[in-house]
Order: sequence, then structure tokens, then C-alpha cells
Amino acid sequence: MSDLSDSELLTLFRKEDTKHYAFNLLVRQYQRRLYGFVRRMVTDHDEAQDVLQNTFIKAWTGLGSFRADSQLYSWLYRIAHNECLNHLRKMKRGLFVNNDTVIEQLSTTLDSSEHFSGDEIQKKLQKAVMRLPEKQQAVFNMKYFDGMKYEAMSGVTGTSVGALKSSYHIAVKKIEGWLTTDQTK
Amino acid sequence: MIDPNDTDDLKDAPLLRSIPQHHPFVVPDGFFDRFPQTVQARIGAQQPTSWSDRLATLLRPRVVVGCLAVLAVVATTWTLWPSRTSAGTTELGGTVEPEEVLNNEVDDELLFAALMSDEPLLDPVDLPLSDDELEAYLENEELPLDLLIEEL
Repeated sequence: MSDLSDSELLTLFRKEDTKHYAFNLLVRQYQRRLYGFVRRMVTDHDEAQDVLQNTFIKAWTGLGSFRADSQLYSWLYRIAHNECLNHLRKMKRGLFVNNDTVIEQLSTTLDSSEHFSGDEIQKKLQKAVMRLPEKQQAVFNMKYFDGMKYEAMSGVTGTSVGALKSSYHIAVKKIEGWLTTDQTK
Repeated sequence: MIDPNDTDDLKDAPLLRSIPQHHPFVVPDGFFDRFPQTVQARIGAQQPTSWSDRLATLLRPRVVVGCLAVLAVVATTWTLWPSRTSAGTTELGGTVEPEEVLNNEVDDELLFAALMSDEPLLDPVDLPLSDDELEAYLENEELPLDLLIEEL
């Protein structure tokens, strides 16, 4: 089945009798890309599933008032981005721990995960990305893995293109340094 | 998809550039087939569909306890409010309500003090009609004015 355009999905969603059908199509259309972003942010599959569910539930609530002046995918990505940041902050608050302990926990999750198919260097990369501050982590993931344009990233994060370029440049430098000196555990 | 113009961002990061950029995370089999239904189920669970569901939501324990607490505060305030306690009216020279006299709820000392006071016991009543107007009204209504006067 070919994907419907954003406007076709929205038209279907606004009719009461096709509302659920349209939303089901929307989830099917965007779940994989959003899952990839969320999973890289929170590492664990079950937690990624929770965050992704919350993302789509918020989308269901807000879709009626969504304005078509921005792309649906950017809007969904923005919700997912905020949900990831909230999740990571809650994680720190819930554990009453500092950032290093959270990174340690995420690293352990990655090491013990059956659901990781990457080789050793990819694992090192994931661990290096975890060490970045949350917002910089999101910027790196959007740019490096998802290949998003800075303009689109600006729409998602609410940060200027210049600041995003700078943030990404710093993130790349840090990660390259960590990978080279093998500081990641 | 990586924009060729953006690969310059990695020119100073040869090691990072050499790493394959595919998704290294594995998803359990059938996850994406089930996921839309899982989301729809959660959405359905959040929406009260019938009056009984809405009533059940209203009668959640926290709501009930909250309502009872508010009622208790209102009842206590109503009971202990100064104008409703006997302490407020047993002072000498205090107000005596006609109902209290009729119900024999006023003690003698208080009643005596009220009678001896210069203040009027009852508020003056403004009659809507003057004497002449009242007489004209009674005549107009053909009421037996003489008999009424005799009865008085």
C-alpha cells in the first residue's frame, strides 16, 4: 500500500467515520523512522516502545489542531524529541543519580541487549553518543543517523540553524576524540 | 539520506566517517505490525465512551474523599459560625429573635435585659399605605370596617 500524503491523512482524520483509520495509517507510515530516533536516544527497546506510544498518543490529541504549514513528520519528530528528553530527565530524577550513573546504566543495557546487531565499533559509537548532553545527543542523532537538514532540525528543536551547526560540530569533535583515544568503556 | 554537502562536517572525523551508518538496533519480530493496534488500544482506553464510564471516573476514590473533606469543612464552619452559636446571643443586651421567644429558647435574664434596653425590640415596619389610603382601600374592597374596628 502506498503512503498517503500528509494532507490526505489529515483530511481523513478530520472526518469522524475515518478518524481512527487515518490515525492507524499515520502510525504505520511514521513508526519506523520515529522508532529509530527514539531507540537511539533511550537505548532499551521496551522504553523506546513506551516513549513512542506516548508520542503517538500526544499526536492523537493534538492532530485536530495541527496546521498544515509545517510537515507532519517534523511535527511528530518534535513530539518524539520532547518525549525522549522528558524520559531521560525522569530517569535521572527517578534514580536520584548523576549523569555518569545514567550513562553507566544505558551502557550496561546496550551490552546486555539481545537487540543490538552492530559490531564493536558501532557499539563504541553508541556509547560515545550517550555521553553527550541530551540536546546535543538529539542533534547528533538527527544529523548523523537520520541525515536531516539543519532547517528541518531547527523546526524540531526550536534552535537556530547556526546554533545547531555549532552543536553538531562540537559533538562530532567530542565523539571522534573519544573513539580515537578509546575512552568509551 | 546523507546530504553530500553536509559530509564536510565529518572531514575532521575520519574514524566517525568510516563507521557504517545503518541502524544497529534490532526490533522484535512483528513489532511494527502490532504497534499501531497497541497505540489504538491505549487511545481507546483513555476515552470514556459511556455515561457509566464517566460516572466511574467521577467516583474515583480521590474525588470522593475530596468531596467529603469539602463537605466536612462546610458543615463545621456552618455549625461553629459565631452568629449561629448560643454564645453570641446570651450576652446581656444581645439580639433576641422572635422565633427564639416563641420557641421558649431565650433565658429570662436575657429577655429582661432586652426589654429594658432603649433599643426597639422590633424593627420599624414601613406601611405601604397612609391611613387615608388604607381607609379608601378597605371601602373599595367593601370590607366591614366597623366590625374590624370593633374587633380591635
